[in-house]
Amino acid sequence: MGWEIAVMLMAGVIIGTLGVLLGIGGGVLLVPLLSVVIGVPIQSAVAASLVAVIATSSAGAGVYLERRLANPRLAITLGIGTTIGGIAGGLIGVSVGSQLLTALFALSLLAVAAITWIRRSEDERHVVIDRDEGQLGDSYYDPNLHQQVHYGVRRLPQGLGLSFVAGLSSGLFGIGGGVINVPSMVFVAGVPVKAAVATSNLMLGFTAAVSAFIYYTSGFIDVTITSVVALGVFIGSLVGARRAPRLRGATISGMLAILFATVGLLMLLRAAGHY
Amino acid sequence: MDDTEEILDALTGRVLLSGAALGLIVAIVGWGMLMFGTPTLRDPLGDPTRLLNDIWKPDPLNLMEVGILILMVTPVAGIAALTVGFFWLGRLRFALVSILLLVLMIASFTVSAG
Repeated sequence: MGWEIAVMLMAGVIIGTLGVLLGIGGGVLLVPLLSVVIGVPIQSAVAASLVAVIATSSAGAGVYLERRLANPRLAITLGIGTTIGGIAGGLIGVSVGSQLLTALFALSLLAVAAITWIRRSEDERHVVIDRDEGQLGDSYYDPNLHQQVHYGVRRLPQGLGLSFVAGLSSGLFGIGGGVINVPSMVFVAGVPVKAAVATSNLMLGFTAAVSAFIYYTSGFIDVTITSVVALGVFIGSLVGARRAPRLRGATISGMLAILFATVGLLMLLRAAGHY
Repeated sequence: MDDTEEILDALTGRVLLSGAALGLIVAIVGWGMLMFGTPTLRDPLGDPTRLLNDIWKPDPLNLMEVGILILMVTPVAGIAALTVGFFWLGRLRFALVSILLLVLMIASFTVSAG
């Protein structure tokens, strides 16, 4: 088990760093790593990934909240949707296979990847410096723009619907839902990408916790593997969260697009039964 | 955002970070025990019923499982901190949303454990 532990720890650090920079839990990369490379049974891989997502969320949110990038009011509001979705996804995930759903999810991700790539520079051209924040909006200091950014939140009902889908995908695929939360907040709710990434990171923990507990009570959590992976992503997340505010919004969006495309392709492989 | 919300955000962040760190430290201690030869009499798959019965046994896998459990309830602690903070700030709408989220999470834990 020696080399497997080293691989899981190092992979956890890298995935945790990337994940917190992009507002995702890293589960989209962890699940195929654990199941294909290490040979962990898929439901245990999903379970370990969900616990790792909690570690990512807690570490990243700790830094993002301190730096006032994450929006807790928006996170708990959208968190209602993701939590209900997470419960549903977890209950379905421990019971049934989901090849068709996986394929549909993969195709959606590829479409989101294309949209995110095309629109990646829009955020910095259109970021609103002084929009009315309203009840759910917030503000943060952007070191790249050298000024305070104020934003409000639009289309909340649609955002809640998408957050339910994010929660559902979390429970089904062992991910945090960030691959849906971040583009939903950016393109639907009009939240600047840096705030969307930070807020999504905070939400991941709520979503993953309910699904993780369902997998735990169903006997799918391998404590040896899960603790190593969670430790790796925790360390990586602490490192990544401290670097995130200095990145340009367009850089984050570009990285997100590449990630979504990669995950979409991995999910298609999974739907085809390769892992 | 005013200063009092800034305090709430920082406090919530500390709760999340500390909870996750505590859970991982407990799990690492379990790993340390395993690597230094402490025997284990169980398989690595988590089981809440077995853990409740055997929690006082010095088994490294029990410690790892406790650490993971602490990690899993850390988001609940974070939401509880937000709930208290929103009440303290007088932001009742968000306090109620937090309570709803808390109830949903605890209910799902209870249902799945049952």
